[in-house]
Amino acid sequence: MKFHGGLRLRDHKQALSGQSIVDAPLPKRLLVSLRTNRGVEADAVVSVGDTVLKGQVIARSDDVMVSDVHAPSSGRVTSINKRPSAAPDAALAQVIEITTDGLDQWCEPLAMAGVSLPELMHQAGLMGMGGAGFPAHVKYGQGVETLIINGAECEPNIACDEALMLAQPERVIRGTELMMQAAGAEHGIIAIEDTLGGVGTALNEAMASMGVSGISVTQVPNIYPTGGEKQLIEVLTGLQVPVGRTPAVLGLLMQNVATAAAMADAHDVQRPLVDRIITVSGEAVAQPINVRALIGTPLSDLLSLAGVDSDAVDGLVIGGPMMGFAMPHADVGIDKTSNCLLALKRSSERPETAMPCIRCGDCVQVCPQELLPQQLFWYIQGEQWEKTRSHHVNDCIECGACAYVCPSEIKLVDYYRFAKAELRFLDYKQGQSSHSKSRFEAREARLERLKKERQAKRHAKTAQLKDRKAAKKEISDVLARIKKAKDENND
Amino acid sequence: MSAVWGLLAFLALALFFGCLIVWVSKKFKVEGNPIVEQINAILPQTQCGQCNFPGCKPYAEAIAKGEAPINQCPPGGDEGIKKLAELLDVEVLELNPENGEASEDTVVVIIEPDCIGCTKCIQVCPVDAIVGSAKLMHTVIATECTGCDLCIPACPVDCIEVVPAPMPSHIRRKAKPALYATAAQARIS
Repeated sequence: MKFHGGLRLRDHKQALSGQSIVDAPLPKRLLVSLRTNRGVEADAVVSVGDTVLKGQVIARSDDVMVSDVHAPSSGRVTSINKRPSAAPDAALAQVIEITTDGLDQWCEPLAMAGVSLPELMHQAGLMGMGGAGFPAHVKYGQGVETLIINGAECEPNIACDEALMLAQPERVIRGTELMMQAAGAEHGIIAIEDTLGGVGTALNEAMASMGVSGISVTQVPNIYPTGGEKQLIEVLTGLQVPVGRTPAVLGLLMQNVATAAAMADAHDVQRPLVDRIITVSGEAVAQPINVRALIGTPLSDLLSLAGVDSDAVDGLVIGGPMMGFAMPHADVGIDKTSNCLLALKRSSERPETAMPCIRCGDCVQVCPQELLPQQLFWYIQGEQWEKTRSHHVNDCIECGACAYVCPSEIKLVDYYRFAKAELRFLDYKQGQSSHSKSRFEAREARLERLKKERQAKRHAKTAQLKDRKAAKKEISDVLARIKKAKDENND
Repeated sequence: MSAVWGLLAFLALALFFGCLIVWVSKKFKVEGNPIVEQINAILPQTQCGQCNFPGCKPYAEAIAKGEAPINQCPPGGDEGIKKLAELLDVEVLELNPENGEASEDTVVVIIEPDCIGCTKCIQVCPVDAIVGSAKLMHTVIATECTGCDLCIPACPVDCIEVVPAPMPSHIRRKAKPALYATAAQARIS
C-alpha cells in the first residue's frame, strides 16, 4: 500500500550509520521547558533555590493533556522564567533552570503499587517522542487490536531512532510488550524503513532471545513522510484515518520507538523519562553524531560535543530539514520531542525570493493528506478563513512536501501555520463572545427580575392602602412610632 | 351529480389543509426574529455601544430591519463585517471610522489603591465582570471582561486602566507571511 503523493529525498544518513551513541557529559545547567503539546503548560511545583534530585517531579498539572515534568539531574533551581523553548517557533514558555551539582543523584523510584500502566506513563512523563509530543497516557483506554511502533524516521538527517533500535533493541521490544498490555492489543508491529535492514535483524534477534511473540517487524518504503501517523497507517493497513478522528476508530494505536523504550525504563527500573537520543547534524557539522542527552541540555553543549565551531553556524534548527523550527540562539534546552539538531550555514538556507503562485499544481501532486495546497494558499492570501477551514487546513500535517516542490519557492507551510493559528484565535474569540452573551443575558434577566420584584412590592403596598381600615391603621401605627421615638429622645 | 361530489371533495380537502396550516403555524411558531439571532451571534457581544446602539442586540435588530449598515462594529473588525456580509448576502464594507477603529483586544484593570468603592463601575458593567461592594475596593475579573470600556467614564476617580487582554498560552497569532504584492515587484531586477 502507498499513500498519496510524498517525496523521495536524499537522506544524508550514511555518515551516521554504524556509529555508536555518544553519551553527553553532564551539562552545567539544564533548561527544562514546562510546555507540552499544543502550548499547554505544567505548573512548577518547585521554587527558585530549591534543591532537586534526579527524577523528582518539578512540575505537574491537573490538565489531562499534561504529563509530569521531572528534574533530569540533581542540583539547585536557579531560575523559573519565560524563555524560548525547543517547541515549534521557539515558543516562549516557562522554563526551569537547574544548575547541576555533578552528583546526578536519583530520587526514590516511581511508585508501582496499584498503579495502572497508563497512570505509570503519566507519572513517568511519557509523551510522543517522534515530534508531536502527544501525552502517551491519553491514548489508552479505548480497546485497540494492533499497536504500531513507529520507527520510520522518514526525514533526512535524523537517525536517533535507528541508533536506538540498533543499540538497545531489547528496550524497544520490552516497551512494545508493555504498551500492548496497556492497550489490550493482540498484535504489535514495529515499522521501520526498508533502508534499515540491519535494524530489522537486530530487533528480530532480540525478540528471539527474549522469547517474545506477537510482535512483527515490517519494512515500509522510504518515501517522505511515511513516518507521519496517518501515512504509516495507510501504508501498513490500507485504511485512512477519518478527518478529525484518532486511529483508535480503526482499532489502532501508534507510539514512537523512543517512547516505547522509555516505557520499558518506567516499568522495569521505575525511572521517569529524563533523557533521549538526539541527532546532531547539518552542513556546519563535520561528523554528525547521535547523542544521549538529558532533557534540558542546552543546544550549545551539544554543538561543542559535536565539535562545531559556533562562529561557522548561521542557523540552528530543532527537528529535521523539512519540518524543523529555527531557534533564535543556542541557549535553549532540548525537550522530549527534540529528535534532531541541525547546524546550518547560510548558503544552505533557501533564498528569500518567493514568487507569485502560477497554479502549476505540483503541490497537489505531492500532498500526502490529499489537500489542495494551492487553493488553500489563495484562500489564506484573501483571508477567507471559513473557506480554509472547509478545505481542511487543520488536517495539514505541515510536512513541507508542497513547499519543497514549489517552483515559486513559496513557503507554503508558513501560510498553513498562520491560517491554523488564526482559526484557533477566531474560535477562541467566538467562544468568548458567546460566553459574554450568556453573561449579558443573565444580567439583563436579573435586572428585569429585580425591577419586577420592586414593582410587585409597591403594588402590594398600594393595594393594601386602598382598604380604608388598613390605611387608617397604618397611619396610626406610623404616628405611634413617631411619638414613641420622640418620647425616647426627650428622655 | 358528479360535479357536486367533486366540489364537495375539494371543499373537504381545502378545509383539511386549512386546519393543518393553522395547526402547524401554532405548533412550530418561531419566537423572535431568527435573523436577528443569527446576526447577534456574529456580533462580538462586548455591549460597548460604539455602533451608536445601546448594545449588540439592538444593533442586530437595526441591521435586520435594514436601518443600520453592517460596518459599525469596531470590536468585530473586518472579520465580523465579512461574516455579516456573507450571512445577509450584501457587499463587504470598510469599517466606518466614525464608530472607532478595530484595535487589539483589551481588558480593563482597576488601580486598586485608588479605588474609593463607589460601585459606579459595577452598575455599568454589562457582563458583571467587576466585583466589590460599597466603600470597599473593587476589582475586574480579567477573564470575564470584554474590553467595552463602559466603566471608564463612569469612574469618578479615573482609576481604571486599559491593558492588553490575557490570552491562553495555546492561542498564538502569527504574522502573515510576506509575499510580493505584485508580479512586477517579484521580477528579478
